[in-house]
Amino acid sequence: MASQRPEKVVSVRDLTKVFNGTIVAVNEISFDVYEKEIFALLGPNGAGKTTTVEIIEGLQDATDGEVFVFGRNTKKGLRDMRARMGVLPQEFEPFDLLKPPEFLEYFARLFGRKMTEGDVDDLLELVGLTERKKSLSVHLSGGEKKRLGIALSLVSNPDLIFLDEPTTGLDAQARRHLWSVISSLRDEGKTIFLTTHYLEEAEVLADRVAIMNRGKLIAMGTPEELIEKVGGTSTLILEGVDTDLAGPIQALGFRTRARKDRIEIRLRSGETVKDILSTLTLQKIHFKDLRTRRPTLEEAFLKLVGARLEGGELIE
Amino acid sequence: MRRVIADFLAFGKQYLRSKEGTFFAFAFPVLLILLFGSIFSTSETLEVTLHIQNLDLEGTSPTDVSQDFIRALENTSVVNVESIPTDVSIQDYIRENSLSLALLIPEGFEGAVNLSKAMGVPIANVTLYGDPSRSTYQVARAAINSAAIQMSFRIQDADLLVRVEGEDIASEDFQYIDYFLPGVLGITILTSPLFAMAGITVEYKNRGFLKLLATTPISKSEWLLSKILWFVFLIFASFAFMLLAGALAFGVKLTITPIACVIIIAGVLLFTSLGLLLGGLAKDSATSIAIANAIGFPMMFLSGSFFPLEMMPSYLQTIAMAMPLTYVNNGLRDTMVFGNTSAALGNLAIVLVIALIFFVTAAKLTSWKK
Repeated sequence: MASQRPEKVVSVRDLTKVFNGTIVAVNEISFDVYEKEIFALLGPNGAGKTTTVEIIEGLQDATDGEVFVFGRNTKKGLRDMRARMGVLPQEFEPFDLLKPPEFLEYFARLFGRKMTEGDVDDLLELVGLTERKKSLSVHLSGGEKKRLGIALSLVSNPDLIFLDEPTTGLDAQARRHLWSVISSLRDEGKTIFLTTHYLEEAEVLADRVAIMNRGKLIAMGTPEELIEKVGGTSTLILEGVDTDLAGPIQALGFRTRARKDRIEIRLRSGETVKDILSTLTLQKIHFKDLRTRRPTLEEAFLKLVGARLEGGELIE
Repeated sequence: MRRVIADFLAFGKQYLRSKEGTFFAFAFPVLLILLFGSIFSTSETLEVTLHIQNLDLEGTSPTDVSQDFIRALENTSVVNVESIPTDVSIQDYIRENSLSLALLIPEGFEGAVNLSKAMGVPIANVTLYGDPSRSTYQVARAAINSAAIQMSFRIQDADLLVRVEGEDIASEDFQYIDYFLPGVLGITILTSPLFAMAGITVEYKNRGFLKLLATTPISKSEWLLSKILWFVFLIFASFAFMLLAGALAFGVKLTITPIACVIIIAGVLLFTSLGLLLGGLAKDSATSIAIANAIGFPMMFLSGSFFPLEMMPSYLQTIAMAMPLTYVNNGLRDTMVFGNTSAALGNLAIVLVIALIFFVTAAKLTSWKK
């Protein structure tokens, strides 16, 4: 239902970036990002994600193609759009000799905004840095610096936020905390452009995902659409069941597979769990327990790219 | 302008928190002033110790003429006379006692003086041993000449007809420290912006700070302007410290003129831009610092900061003319010490032209984009 989609915030058309005349980092890619969504650009290290996002942010020039942000062609400059854009660069570092509140106030002033002490405290609390407000940034850990970077991307109260690998280097707990922060920003009506090599992150957070590899966009859609596109459907698992019943269940028209003391029934497109359970009840097939297993973006990625993605690297 | 002020305040806070920046802006120039001021601003008369071997003896006692000559030397109040025994070789004595100066009054000196008087031509000689390149040698030689002339006039019963009077060329009674302080100011104008900007620019580039700033509305020229304003503020604050230290310790008297203020601003513009240029060209901090040192240190010593250019060999004076700091130092002394406005304006014009060339080049070459 494209006609009901909100406004386009970012439009990328046939974008190409070539370094030194020979290295094609981005190869004729096109996509749109809509307001109030989390759009994830997913891919391994070296796929061209950061180059793409930096061209959109106006930090690099494109070799070819066009990029529009809030309808403005980036070739015309984005200076008067800067306050509407928050940016966390991939390798963000704060200035060593400023404390987190000083750093946030400084950047807010660059955006023409005067932050009150309360504003600063709220922002630090949002990213979990309240306890570190009196420390010089040089003394913050890697994860704390990253969280300060996310706070920094919010100082201008932007409509569009670019987060380039926001959770790289964070432990699992900090990562999940940041996921909730990012989700809450979307709930507030912000548009998030997320660049990540974590499949789980894209799947948990993103409304839409674009998979990029070797400078090309190889797939784009909601996580569900991508999973469906590669033939991935949910599986109903019957536990504590006589596995000899796998044949009769298959005879009922279901795709089954027997495993030790369980039978797996893979749903076809259009089939529902409720339909299957009704049929099994009618046929008096009993089981102790049941659960469903949803296919993951990881499986879809494996099929689309032909390799697994681990720690930002492709494993063939 | 709000962005410039925001950047100025944030940068200033970081600068003052860095120990190196504060040291070179405030402690270093004050230390230089106290050190050099103590060395050169002493009111005590310069005195040279001169070891004399008097071989002109009558029996075992020195002759009257040789004693007159030694008394004349002592009367110069420049020479402190010490005796060398008559039974040793003067060369051996010099070597064994590591002397830098020694005078030999030879045997027959009195006779030679009397003969000179009779013939009307100088026959009597004394021999000065020492290193002519050392200033003490020149002082001793001048004192010996003076003593010889005084003794000659007395023997011939003649009077001195011409007397030399010293008059300071400065507008008031200035001392060495008054000449030196503008040089220290020049060094601070060179070192603080040049070394800081060379380091900062490469750090901002390599740690992604320039990219981070490029995501905000601040422009490259606003960022550079805030740096220039900071260093102008810093140098004036540093100058105030220097003046205070100089005034309290040595009674420095300098006239702070509007032209001096403009020269300071132009000098800061020049060396801030040069630092930006070097930092922009260097790949890493080590290279940037090495280049800044290679340029900054020779300029510090060859631009007349510590001593007048006239003391240097002519080829070094030619090199000094190619160094921008020379014009900063000359301009500051022209206006603050000599009160020579037209010369100061000439130096200011040169500093401004170089500063603008560096500023435009640095602003063009420093890219915030990849």
